[in-house]
Amino acid sequence: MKTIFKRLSSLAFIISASACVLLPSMASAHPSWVLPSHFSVSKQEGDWITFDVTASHGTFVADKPASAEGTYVLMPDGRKERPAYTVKGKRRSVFDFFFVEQGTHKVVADNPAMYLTTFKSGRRDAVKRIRANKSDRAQMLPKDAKDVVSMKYQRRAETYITVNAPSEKALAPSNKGFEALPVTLPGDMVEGEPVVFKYLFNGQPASGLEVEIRREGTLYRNQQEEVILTANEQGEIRFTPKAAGRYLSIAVHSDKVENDPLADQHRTMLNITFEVQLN
Amino acid sequence: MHFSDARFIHRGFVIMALFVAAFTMPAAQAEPLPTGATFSIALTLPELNTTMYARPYVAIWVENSERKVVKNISLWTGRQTEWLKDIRTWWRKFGRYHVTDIDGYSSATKPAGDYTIRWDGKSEQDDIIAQGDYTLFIEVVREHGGRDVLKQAMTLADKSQSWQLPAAAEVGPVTIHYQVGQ
Repeated sequence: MKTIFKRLSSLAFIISASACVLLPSMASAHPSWVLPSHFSVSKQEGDWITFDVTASHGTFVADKPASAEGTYVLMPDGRKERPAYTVKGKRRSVFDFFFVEQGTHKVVADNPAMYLTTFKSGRRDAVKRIRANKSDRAQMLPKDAKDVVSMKYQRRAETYITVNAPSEKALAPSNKGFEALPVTLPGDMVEGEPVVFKYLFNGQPASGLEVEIRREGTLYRNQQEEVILTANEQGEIRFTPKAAGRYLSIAVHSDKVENDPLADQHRTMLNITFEVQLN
Repeated sequence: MHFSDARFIHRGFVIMALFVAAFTMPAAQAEPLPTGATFSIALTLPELNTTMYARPYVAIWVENSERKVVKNISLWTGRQTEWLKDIRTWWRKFGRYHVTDIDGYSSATKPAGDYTIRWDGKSEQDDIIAQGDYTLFIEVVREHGGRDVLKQAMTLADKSQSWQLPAAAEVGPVTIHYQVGQ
């Protein structure tokens, strides 16, 4: 029994070590997302919409605890509001927000940045990961550590809510960091018609960026049916959804930095939940 | 040189004349529907034996060949506005741009039965529409139920015409009459 356990635990170590290797590509990450109960409001008096915030492998299947503390709503006039009612659960957070102002709102579930340091050490050069930044990593790293990289990692999940006709002000880019804007306005995304998003980094087109688009309902079909797109020179991705439904676009941007005392690399995961309507 | 100049001018004039003709001819063709032309749309809202029956929301509108709404003929939604967005195609094409004057379009929801809706061929701007290609849309959505979008392409000119649409789950059959003259 003991030897089996030992073998199992060494196997587990190998698995977790390989998970660390995969981490830089975020292949093992749980994509975070925010899912509204409704994407549009027509009620003249305005209406409440409830949101789930979580991270998971299954598209829109709540899994990992996630905080909604950093969530804000960009109103149609561009100002920022915070949701009033937030509940933190074991496998998701929930918040509600009242929508009454005309136009498109951008809902942002922002998370504070985390710092991770990866390195190789030991006889087998196993890749390991610690929660440390560039300035405090020295005391935590083993003496033989090599290929040490510290990363500032941020996850942001966004979605759009439209009251009556869509508008563009809340979608305007800040030209700071990694961001995306729907060229096809939310509310205009329809099955069988092209949908275009534009990705920017510091206001410049994020050309060459890889974006993965997943449709809800993976629990009840055998194939993931994901679409993987590469942003063109304008930073745009374009696809024609075959089916109406809720979609998640997943994109990770990495940038090597010289001037951050806490990190060698900045990495942002930006996931957007959007609705494709019936034609 | 003189000769070729003259020819050049002459050719230019012909091309210009062709351009003028190309741009003015469709406008000249775009005559309004004949005086007194009318539409009638006869439709059935079926009796449905379900446990949670609610009267359906119905929107009927006409689009031109550029897919622009020229006339919202009917909107049966009652006074509520909460579910307007669920008349999805109508909401996207027309409703969401007319929220401030939606009272002017909406009337009460209707129980199961046969209805005839009339339209005088006038656009939202109150002009008689031009002869040409149009599409009539009938969208019916029922809470706890389904949704149907019926479409009928129509070329409207100086002759009477009729179209039949078979029954769908939430509406139909539908008969459309375009009546010119007596």
